[in-house]
Amino acid sequence: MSVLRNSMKVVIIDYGLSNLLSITRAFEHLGTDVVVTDDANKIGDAQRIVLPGVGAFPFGVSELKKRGFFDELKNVNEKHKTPILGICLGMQMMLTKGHEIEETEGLGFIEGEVVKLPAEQNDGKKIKVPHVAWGQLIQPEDKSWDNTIFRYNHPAQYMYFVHSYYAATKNTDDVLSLTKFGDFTFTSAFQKENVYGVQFHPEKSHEDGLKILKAFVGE
Amino acid sequence: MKRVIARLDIKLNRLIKGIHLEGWRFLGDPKPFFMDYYENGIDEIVYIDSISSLYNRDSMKELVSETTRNVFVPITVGGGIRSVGQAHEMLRSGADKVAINTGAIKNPELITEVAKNFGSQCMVISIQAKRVAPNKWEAYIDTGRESSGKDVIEWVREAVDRGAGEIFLTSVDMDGTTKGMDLALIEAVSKEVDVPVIASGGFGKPMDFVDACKYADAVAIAKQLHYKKATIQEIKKLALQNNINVRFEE
Repeated sequence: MSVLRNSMKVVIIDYGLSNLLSITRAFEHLGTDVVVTDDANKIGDAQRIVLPGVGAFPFGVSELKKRGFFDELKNVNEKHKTPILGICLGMQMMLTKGHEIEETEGLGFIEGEVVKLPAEQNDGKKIKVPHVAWGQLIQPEDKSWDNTIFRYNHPAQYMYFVHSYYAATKNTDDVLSLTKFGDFTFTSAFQKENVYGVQFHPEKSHEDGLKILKAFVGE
Repeated sequence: MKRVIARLDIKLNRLIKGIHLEGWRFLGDPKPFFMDYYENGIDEIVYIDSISSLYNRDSMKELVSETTRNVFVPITVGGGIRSVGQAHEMLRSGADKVAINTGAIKNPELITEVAKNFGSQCMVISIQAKRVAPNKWEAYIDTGRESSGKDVIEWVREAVDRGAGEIFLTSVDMDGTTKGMDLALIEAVSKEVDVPVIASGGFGKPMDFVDACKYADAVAIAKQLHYKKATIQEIKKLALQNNINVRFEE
């Protein structure tokens, strides 16, 4: 007799803020088992966790806390080292703190702060914020993408961005990719051990975005 | 980075296309169209519901939901959205942004509310501009049928001040004509505000994309894509030849 085990592969955290359908559909398209949950008790035995999000930092953090996810994510990260992928606001909330609207403490998985994109270029020209555009991945020097969520991707591939704030990461070691906003360069993806964050939306970034999700759920 | 956007006008789950937002013709099931655009590198898809009835809104939700199974680029839905609740329904069905025209003109507070609830990046103000004098345009409502009496430039300014994060700008005069875009309109609106402007109406040939992108951030194309008179690849190739940065992979 076979033993029924939890076939749960990817758990997407629902804290009331985002368009979860698109990210769910993207994993389904890849043939992955995916579960959306607003129950913090359901992430303990997950094999992969996705923290999505659209909206303002303090609001996101308070919604996570309201549902018990804030502490449980820290707990799971510490105890199980489950691979976690933060997307957009989900990525930003993994940092030490955010400066959107008011100073707010983040999950603190990655050292750094969330600050507003500069509306002015080095040459004084104005640039449009929010940054709603396709941007290219830049691979930092000496950073290998082997064995990371970018293992199927190449530098210069395009990802879809929608944001007004960005992750000002403290340690260059954590930076997985950079992207240009005008002549300003920001961290578009980071990684520290099992923790991944992407500022762009892989689920909205055509086939090259899906490759990242495929790598994330791969062994 | 400039974007090529496919605009699909929808009536009762069917793709349609008209001239000056009138005289609709049925082109059929939208699915082969959106699949083709996705496979050929479209940057974004915009659905405009041409008759905003309760029944049609349900079928629009189904269409958006179906699209998200196969299409992994941003999707904007417009047409008939009059409340935060209706905007939320579209977002829950898989739309990334909502485009609002009539509902916002009748109740400008709706812009503020949608931006506050879902973020400015979700709140696209849709403008149907009709030229009334040289360099003067009036905002039309109810699918280009009725004038609101509002000056387009003043209205765009107000909408952005209220939280609109993007402008979907349709020239009623040029829509469906394929005779080129209203460049003066695109220039005037782009210079007034700092948010991205999607130009729509009148695209006839790839060079129209290049011309519009002098001011616009994106061009929405309907007829010439639906009738296969222009391809996404040739538009992007021409853009690159003219030093316009677009997402392009062979």
